[in-house]
Amino acid sequence: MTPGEPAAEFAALVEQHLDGLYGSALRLTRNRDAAEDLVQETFLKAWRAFASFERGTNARAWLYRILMNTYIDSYRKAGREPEVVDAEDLEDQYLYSRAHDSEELRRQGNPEQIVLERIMDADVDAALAALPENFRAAVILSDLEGFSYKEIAQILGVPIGTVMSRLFRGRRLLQKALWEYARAARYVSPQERTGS
Amino acid sequence: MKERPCREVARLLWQFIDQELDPATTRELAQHVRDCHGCGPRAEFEMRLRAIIQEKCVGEPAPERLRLRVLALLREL
Repeated sequence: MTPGEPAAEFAALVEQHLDGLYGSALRLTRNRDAAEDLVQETFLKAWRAFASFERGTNARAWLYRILMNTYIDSYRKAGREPEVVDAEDLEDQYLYSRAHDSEELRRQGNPEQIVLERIMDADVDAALAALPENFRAAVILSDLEGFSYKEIAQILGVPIGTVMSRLFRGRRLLQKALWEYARAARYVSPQERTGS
Repeated sequence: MKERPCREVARLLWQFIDQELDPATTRELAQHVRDCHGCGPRAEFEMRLRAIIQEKCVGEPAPERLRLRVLALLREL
């Protein structure tokens, strides 16, 4: 392979994006073997389409789009999950509001601070993995991968309004799960935390 | 300019934090969040929470065998 040739160019893309794509694939499939297969198939499809990939455009978003399409086509369980639009619980910043209004936490100190400290010990990964698929994908692409709403809309092939609705609902559900965790957790004092 | 009520700011807060609002609204919310004792801590909480989520979900790197598998596959094609 010579630099400047498509194969060399593509190999550089693989090196650059492999870890990120694998991390997201693992969060989507929740299974290491399936994640590896998904990433392999993504690169295979990407290579086949590489000739038509417009150089200088966002390669990362392009690869994520192929990853999501491949995932939706082959790996997600049959039948789409219905888009849940729940009339209740449309409150944003669920966790902040719960923490802020908690008399119990207020007696122990700064409620927001306590909740954030407890979440440091929470299994955030598991809470994220438990989100319904559409919401999980939006949260992964925004909060972990840092894509803009517009990029996520392109990656998922849905309108921006749908991205926002999935993302905000996903965040709320995640915050709800983290609130349940924080509320159940025993208060650990800063002294105990440092292990002295 | 008519001041936006806090309830409205809370509704736009995630879009503000995600830097998805137009420049004028972004400036307006930045000022509101800086000056408001209710919305300031709310915005700070959301940003710290996101940082914690990112920190806790760093993920694992791809296994070496996958890297080799993909690169080998490309050589075959």
